[in-house]
Amino acid sequence: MKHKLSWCSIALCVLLAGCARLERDIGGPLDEAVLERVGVGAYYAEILEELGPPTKMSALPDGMVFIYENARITERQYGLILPGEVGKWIKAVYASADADIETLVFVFDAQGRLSSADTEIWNTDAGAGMSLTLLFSTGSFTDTEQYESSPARSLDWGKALTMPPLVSLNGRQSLETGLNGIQLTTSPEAVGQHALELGAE
Amino acid sequence: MREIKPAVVLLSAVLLSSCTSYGSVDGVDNLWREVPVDAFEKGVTTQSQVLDELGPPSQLINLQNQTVFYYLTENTTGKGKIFIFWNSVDAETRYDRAIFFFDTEGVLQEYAFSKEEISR
Repeated sequence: MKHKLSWCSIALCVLLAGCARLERDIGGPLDEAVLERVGVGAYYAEILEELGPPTKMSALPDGMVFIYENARITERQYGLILPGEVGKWIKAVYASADADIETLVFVFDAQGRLSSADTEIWNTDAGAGMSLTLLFSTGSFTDTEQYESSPARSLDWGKALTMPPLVSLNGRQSLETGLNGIQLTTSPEAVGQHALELGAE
Repeated sequence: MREIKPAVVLLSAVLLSSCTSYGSVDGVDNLWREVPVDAFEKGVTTQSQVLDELGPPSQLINLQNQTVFYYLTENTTGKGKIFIFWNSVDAETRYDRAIFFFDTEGVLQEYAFSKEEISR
């Protein structure tokens, strides 16, 4: 009987604390079928006609590259009211997030002709977090900033002056200016060009 | 002990629940949705005419033998439902883009607008 009661009280604590779901869709769905309609040698204007302007683009030494991206982030939160007189006013929340990423890449030669293209769709663990809040909250507790970074970010060029020294020194090779290449939104700092900035924080 | 009536519980649940809605717009004004379709003509329109119609671009990209004007408007909208026991927030970010490619003489070679349109 005592055992049953304790399980009931735990279940009650979870139910009373509540749960939450936060969903964010960034960029809208992509049309992968375009890869069947345009082949190698297609002029870049055909891609623009099919898909509109890319999410990101960059110059390359012998041409340019377009990337189209869509990210759908789902965060689930599970709450638990803590025991005790003070605890009943405090809610412990555990949150975890997943991201569905969709990408289309087009690489063009110096004449603007398509030299290669591909698509990729994958799901990734976007992180987890915990918090203690008063009663309830619907804020995000996972760090999904890398998925949410806006293409308008490069407009904040003035902020570059306040970045850690390693990031500022690497600024001339930035992959966000459209001059030195490009990277997927989900790329971690340990890959390629940004590896120089590891330990900057 | 005084009994709590179901109607009181129901009323409390309704009063304690709430909804929220928010939105934000970032980037440049998407003036390309207002400009007449024939305002931009390949091989004729110049950089200065595009600047005159749309203002400064979000990004100006230097390719080998082309200059690119990239215009971007970002619109985020979200809705939340708060029922105390179950909360839910849905947010959606959409982009309205325009891109213009110019040759070394500053004459328009190609241009395109997003399929998705953010209403002005």
